[in-house]
This record gives sequence, C-alpha cells and structure tokens, in this order.
Amino acid sequence: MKKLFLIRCYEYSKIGCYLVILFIIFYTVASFKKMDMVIFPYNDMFSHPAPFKDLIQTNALYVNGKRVDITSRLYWKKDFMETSLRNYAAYQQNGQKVPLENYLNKKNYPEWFNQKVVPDPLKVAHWPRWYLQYAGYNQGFDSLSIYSFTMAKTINGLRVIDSELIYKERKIPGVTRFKK
Amino acid sequence: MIRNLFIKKEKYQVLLDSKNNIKIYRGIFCILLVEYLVMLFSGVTWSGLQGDTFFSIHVDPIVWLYYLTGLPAAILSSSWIGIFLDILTIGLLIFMIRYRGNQKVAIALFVLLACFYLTLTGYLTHRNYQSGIFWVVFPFMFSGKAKELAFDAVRYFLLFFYFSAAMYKLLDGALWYTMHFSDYLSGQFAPYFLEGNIGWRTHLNLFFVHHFHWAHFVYILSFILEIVAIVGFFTKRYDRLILLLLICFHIGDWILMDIGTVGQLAFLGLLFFRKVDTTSSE
Repeated sequence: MKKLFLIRCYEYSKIGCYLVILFIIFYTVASFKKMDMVIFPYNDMFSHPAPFKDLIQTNALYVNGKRVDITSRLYWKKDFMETSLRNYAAYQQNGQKVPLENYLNKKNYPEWFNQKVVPDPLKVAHWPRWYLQYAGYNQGFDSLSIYSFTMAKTINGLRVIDSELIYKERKIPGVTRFKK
Repeated sequence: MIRNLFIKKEKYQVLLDSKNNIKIYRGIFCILLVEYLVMLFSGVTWSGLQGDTFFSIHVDPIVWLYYLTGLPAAILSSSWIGIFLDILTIGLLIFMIRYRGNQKVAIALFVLLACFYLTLTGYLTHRNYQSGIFWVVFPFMFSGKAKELAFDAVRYFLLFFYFSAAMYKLLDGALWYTMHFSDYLSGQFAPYFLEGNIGWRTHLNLFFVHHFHWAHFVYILSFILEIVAIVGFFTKRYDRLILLLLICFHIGDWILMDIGTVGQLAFLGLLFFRKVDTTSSE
C-alpha cells in the first residue's frame, strides 16, 4: 500500500514536510478569514445565498452618445471590459474609493502602504480615456459618459427601466492618447 | 522465467508510462501556450494592459506584498516592458515544450505567470479563480523524487479547489435555497440583453431564470461534479474520469454563467498523468 503523502514527504525532506504542513495551516486560517484570492482561488463563488433581487445592475460606456458594445468580443476582452467598468462605476459611486480603502480606514497602516495598495486618484482620473483606447476608439471624442442601468426581469429578457449617469467627460477632438 | 517475464513487462510498462508522460507533458504546455495566446489576442496580457491605471485588490496580504513592490504599476507604465514580458513568456513556454524538464526555465515561468496572474486580477478588479495558469508549472520546478511529491501536492491542491467549492455550496446553505441559482443567473447576461446580443445562450439563461426548479437541479448537478473530486484523494485510478467531469462543469459554466475556462485548462490537464516521470531532462 502506498504511504500517505505527508509521510512520503517527511521521508524525503523534513523541511519540505514542515513547509507543506505550514501551508495547510495557513490555507485553513486564510479560508476562515475569507482570504481566498491568490494561492487561495475564488472557490466560494456563487455559494452564498443572497436575498432575491428583482432588479439587475449593469454599466455601459458611451462615446459621442453612442454605446460601446463589449459582448461580441473575445471572452477575456469582454470579461475585462465588463468587470473593470463595473468596478470603476462603483469606485465613482463610492466617492472615488475602492473597497479595500474601507478596510484600511479601520486600521492604522502607514500612508506609504496605503498608496501602494490602492490606486492613485490622480492617475485613475485618466482611466476612462485609457478604457476608450482599450476598446479600440483611437479617434477624438466630444463626450464620454459612463451609465449605470437598472434592468427588470421580463418574460423576454431583461429590460432597462432606469439609468444613472456615473461619469461624464468632454474632450477636445483628436486628443485622446493618454500620457502618464 | 515467468518472474523475468513479469519484470520485463513491468519495465516495459514504466517505459510506456514515461513515453506517454512526455506526450501529456508536451500537451499540457501546448494548452498553456494556446491559453496564453488567446489571452494575448484578447488584450489581457502584459502588453494589452499597458497604461491601465485603475486596480482594485482585496484583503489578502499575499497580493499586498506583490503590489507593495510597485512592480505591476512599473510594468504597465511601459509598453516595451509589456511586449518584452509577453515575448519572454511565450518563448519560455516554447522552450518548455521543446526541452522538457528544465527546472530553471520552469522557475522563471512560474514566477512570470504568477506575477501576471496577480497583475491581471488586480487590474481586472475582480477575484479570479483561474490561478491554474501558474500553478500548473509548479511541479516542473523540481526534479527526481521532489518532482513526484510536488506533482502530488499540486494534484491535491487542484482536487481540494473543486472539492472545497462544493463544500462551500453545502456549508453556506446555497444548496438548500431553491431560488438561489436562478437568481444568480438573472444577472450573468445583463450586458448581452442591454446590447441586444441575443442568442441560444441568452435563451437558455432566460429559461433557467423563469424555471427556478430546473436551475436548482443544474446547481445540484454542478455540486455533484465538483464534489466527485474527493475520490481523487484516495486513488488516482479515476483521475481521467474526474477530469472529464470537471471539463463538463466548466463547459456548463461557460454556457450558463458566461465564465470562461481559458487559464484553467492546462492545470486540469495535470489529472491526465498516470505516473510521474521523475527524470529531470529528456
């Protein structure tokens, strides 16, 4: 009969075995602390029962009054454009703060630390223009807006029942390239 | 004589396993290369994200450590660095396919892909589960007996990932809440409905949104597909069956939830190994 993994590990290298045990302990503690990102992949996805919601939120970017469509793009591009836009809209709605800032505000981390783990608002101000370029719009624009849509479930799908302007920018045509 | 025959047969089997492993090994790195190329053409690799200034990370000190170095911002500030890192990643992947078992290259590739994963998740502003894109390289950083143990460790990690996902569904109570999955599904295709990009997946989505009992049945089915991974903790005999079931799970994930699998496929491929080849080079 084959020996257990940890026993085989111990026989090969004691230090290696201790590291594996340390990793298991760390993983267990981290899981209880809901630190499930890096070496802790997002395996609790869709496991939390949430209160039933009738209304759905989504966002879209408009250039010169025309919507920038994302769903016909390759999966990763679509996923990136959808998720980052949603979180940028949330960032704007949350007084230009990412969720981590709410956590850091309760702790006493030094300022240099906070500056590294949360985005610089001055740099983030350029993000919509970067996003536009990322979406493949390299021409000038008159207006750039981000809207949040509230959609209701109907028998034929989701229907927009409300919209909210999240961000608006007017720009001189022809000057779109973002420079750091 | 009979004993000798058995030994010969055993040796032949080992040889066969080893040759088979080489094919699987190359297959896994070919899948990883294709996955990276798909991401490259989608514009979410180093060069694609150049100039991005908005990121959002979560309460996770491991990620903080990486962002504290200032590396992600520095890399994304220059398109040349991005292009260089993309070329380097593809080059190392091709090298790994051609010269199997090179540990130093595997270490470099592991670090590079881990950094890429951390950067992508931060700038994607979303916790992403496809960490397999760098974990898959982990066993190849070792040689000999250590390689075999590292392979087993990563294999357990892979199995635990899916098994724990099933356990979360059970312990958090979602499995007993019949409206749960139907409710989640209703938001998954919102941009498609907004843009009027309607097709068979949105129709299927609508069906499950309006028939929550069927949706719950599918949710239970996904739970079963994930919890089957526990079998792998006791035997390697059914690894390929588990792999097949997990691929079915991911296909369902894409059809119903619009969650892609690119980034995780090569990692799943580790379940295809029958026996680990412990030789360090070809």
